[in-house]
Amino acid sequence: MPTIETTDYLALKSRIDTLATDPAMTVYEPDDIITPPSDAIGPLPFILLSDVTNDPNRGGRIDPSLHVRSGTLMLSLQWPIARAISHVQLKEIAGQIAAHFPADERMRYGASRLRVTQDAGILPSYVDGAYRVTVVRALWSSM
Amino acid sequence: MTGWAGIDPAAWAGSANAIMTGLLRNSVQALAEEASKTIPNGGRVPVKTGDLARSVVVSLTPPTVKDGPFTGDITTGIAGIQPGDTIYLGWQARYSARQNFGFVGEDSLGRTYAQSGFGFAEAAAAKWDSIVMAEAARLGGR
Repeated sequence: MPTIETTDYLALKSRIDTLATDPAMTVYEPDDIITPPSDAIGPLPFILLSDVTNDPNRGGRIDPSLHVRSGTLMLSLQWPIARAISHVQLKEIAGQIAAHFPADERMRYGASRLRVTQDAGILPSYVDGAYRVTVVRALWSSM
Repeated sequence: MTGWAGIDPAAWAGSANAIMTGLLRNSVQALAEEASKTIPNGGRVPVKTGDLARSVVVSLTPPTVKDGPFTGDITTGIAGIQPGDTIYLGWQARYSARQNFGFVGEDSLGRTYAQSGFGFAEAAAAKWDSIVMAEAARLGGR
């Protein structure tokens, strides 16, 4: 029987697994050992996941044993600098990812029932090594 | 002599303003301490040299990226803030974004891996409400 922390992540993962972007991109989970994807032209874009969880909050007034769990799912779009892209195009791709996590989107796995607390947002891009990075953040909490 | 023996409104307003300023400064200081708390100390900031944790700065202007070493002084920025100000809290270390949001890197065995972001910015921000409530409760009796 997996723990609630595991099923929380798997609930998020179940939503990530249905993400379709144009162009299609491989999604890497935290600490995956990877070979950055490439084609004949050069490196390909991909997405890195970061799973940030907050301390559980003991918020139940009727049932004091109730805890609210919450966190931030970060989807870091890594776009190779060598592959030309305009600001608008990058914004659109990040927007597609963000749109996959609208406010009140429900996710479940095992005992976990999660919801997105507000529309996912996009942070300004920055350059890190050979990639232009755009981070999409989806805030979630248990229901 | 009016016979009024209640609270002096002017004194009350002055006191309330001082308490609001204190609440804001104490809360921002607690947030900055949370933002600079390292993983071995129960926080979320990864530590190798400690420079990332010490690069936290509080100011009325957006923080700039710098090369270390950093002093870890957060009090200078907090001293001048007033209720209504826009306050910036950030990490100045050049590598703070990749540590927070994740990156692709090589480990000591030469394997390329997806380094997950530590999300210390998000984790600290998520504590803001509880920090303010705790500080308000602490000041409530004054």
